[in-house]
Amino acid sequence: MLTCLDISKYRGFHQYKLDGIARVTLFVGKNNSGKTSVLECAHFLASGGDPDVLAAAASRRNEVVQLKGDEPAFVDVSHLFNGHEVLPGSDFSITGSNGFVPIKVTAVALHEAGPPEEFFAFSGSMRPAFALKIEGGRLRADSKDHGKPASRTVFLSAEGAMLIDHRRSPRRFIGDVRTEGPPVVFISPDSLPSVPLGGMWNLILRDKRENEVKEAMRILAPSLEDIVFQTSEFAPRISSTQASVLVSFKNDVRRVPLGSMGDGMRRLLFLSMSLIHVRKGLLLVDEIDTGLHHSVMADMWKLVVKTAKTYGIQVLATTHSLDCMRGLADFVKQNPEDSDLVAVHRVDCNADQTVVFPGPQVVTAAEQEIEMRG
Amino acid sequence: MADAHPILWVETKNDGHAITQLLDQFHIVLDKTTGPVLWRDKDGFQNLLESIAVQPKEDSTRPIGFVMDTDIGVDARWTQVRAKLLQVCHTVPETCPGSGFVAMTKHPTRRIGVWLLPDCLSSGEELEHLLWRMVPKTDALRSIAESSTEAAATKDRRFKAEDELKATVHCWLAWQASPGESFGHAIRKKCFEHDIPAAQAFVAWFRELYQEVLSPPPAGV
Repeated sequence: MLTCLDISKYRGFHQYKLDGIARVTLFVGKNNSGKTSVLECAHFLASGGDPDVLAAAASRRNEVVQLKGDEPAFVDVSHLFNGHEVLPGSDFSITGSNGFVPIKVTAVALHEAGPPEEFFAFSGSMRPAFALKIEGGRLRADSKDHGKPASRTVFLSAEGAMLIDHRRSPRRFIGDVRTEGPPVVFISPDSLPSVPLGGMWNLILRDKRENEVKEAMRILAPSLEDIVFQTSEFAPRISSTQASVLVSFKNDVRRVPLGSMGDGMRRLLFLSMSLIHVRKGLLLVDEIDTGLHHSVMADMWKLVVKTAKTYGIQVLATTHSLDCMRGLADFVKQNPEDSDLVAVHRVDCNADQTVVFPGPQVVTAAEQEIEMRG
Repeated sequence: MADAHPILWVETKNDGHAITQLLDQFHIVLDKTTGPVLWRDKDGFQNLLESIAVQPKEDSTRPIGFVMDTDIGVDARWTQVRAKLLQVCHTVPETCPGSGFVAMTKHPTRRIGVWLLPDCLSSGEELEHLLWRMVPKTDALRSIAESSTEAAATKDRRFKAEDELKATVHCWLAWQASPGESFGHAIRKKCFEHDIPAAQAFVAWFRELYQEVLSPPPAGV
């Protein structure tokens, strides 16, 4: 489990320390304080330095470069560097605790990166100008350098575009086809329509975990009886997850589309599925309250914390919502035995560390209307 | 949003009013809305105690102070307070400093202070004890208030034994020119002789804690 995180020169952070990260940690703070950046760092670290994770981090924020209208767009990684600029010599690093191998990302000149192994026909008029060297994140398995930090290189255009052929780069950060390291899922606030729920459900079915998802969902919807994913020719499309999921409740005569239940239920299903999917891994949820009514916040946290506790999952989430924080406080108050599993961190990239509110203090803050968010 | 003014946290509104009036006697004028220091109450001791480890973590660099009583004894109270302070301060002395506690918090960094009524040294005391010390021993009604309260308790005890001094102070206040004033009003009307060592020590602590926003004391004060 990640208990500490040191971030150097990533996005808005200079040198930043997060101590006392709990099994379930909620990051709060003002706009542009760096909450999402913290999740991105944890994601990158847990992925073992996967360049696709960096690409996803930039892509979620629409940080893209497109030189010509008829050419493909590529993610612009320059914003990942402090000062929004990447030049040979620019770097950032992320260090974690408990066995996570530190990562240093450095922009290097082309001749330092070695000859590109791939052809760049896919990149249109963009050509490699320099490279990103990703050192660490995982250890080398080959006999020659066994146990040393691994290193990999991706090429960048002069504009900062990461020249990855996206046709060969499935969304591994969601599908989790990695075979090394803990499973990781990143849920972004706007991910609902485009997330391959069906793919995740297939993995859950394969591993016979569908009952665990239902049990998790029943924390919020006790009368839930069943969840079914349709497999007709119009249902399994990634973009039509609303139509492809049917749910039923006790005493109902027929199953109803999840889409008819509102955003909150879909969000909770996705949360439940992700929790079961990342057993013993890491779940990152940006704006965890998205789509949820304030009245279900405490139950949502019950789902998250109880499931995280049962299956050894670490959950890092962000919110702006006072209701969301109060919901967490309500949960801790009702479940004092779980108070040590929970913490709120206030993030401020202009400071040098987070302000930490352990579980019991979250309750005090909520009861006394002490502002944790800044 | 954290407060724009430094805050002094107290147990009850009564405490806040009395402390404001006491400070006023020492030329420290606190306005309800413009400060320079605002006071707020936590509606009871337990809330005040719990808040010591949390309130300073609000996003502010303003000094923050806490005033609490020592009804369970100064050492026992300090043990409780110290456990909370250690969650926000690097080091906290094992005994309460006689001049009050003032230090810097870890993160965010701000000055924090704690004062245990009445003088950070005496045990089992509350605001009433500080006020009673401001009634001169030579005051003609002092001993009568004490004996009357005792007699009333003997005849028909309706208040708890630990509240006897509170009853005595209120009894004494009932016999002033404007009978039955609140502590704060009584201080303002100069029923008490405020300039005693315990009050001076409290004011010195207050000045140290909130030095950034307070004017220097007038010459000779």
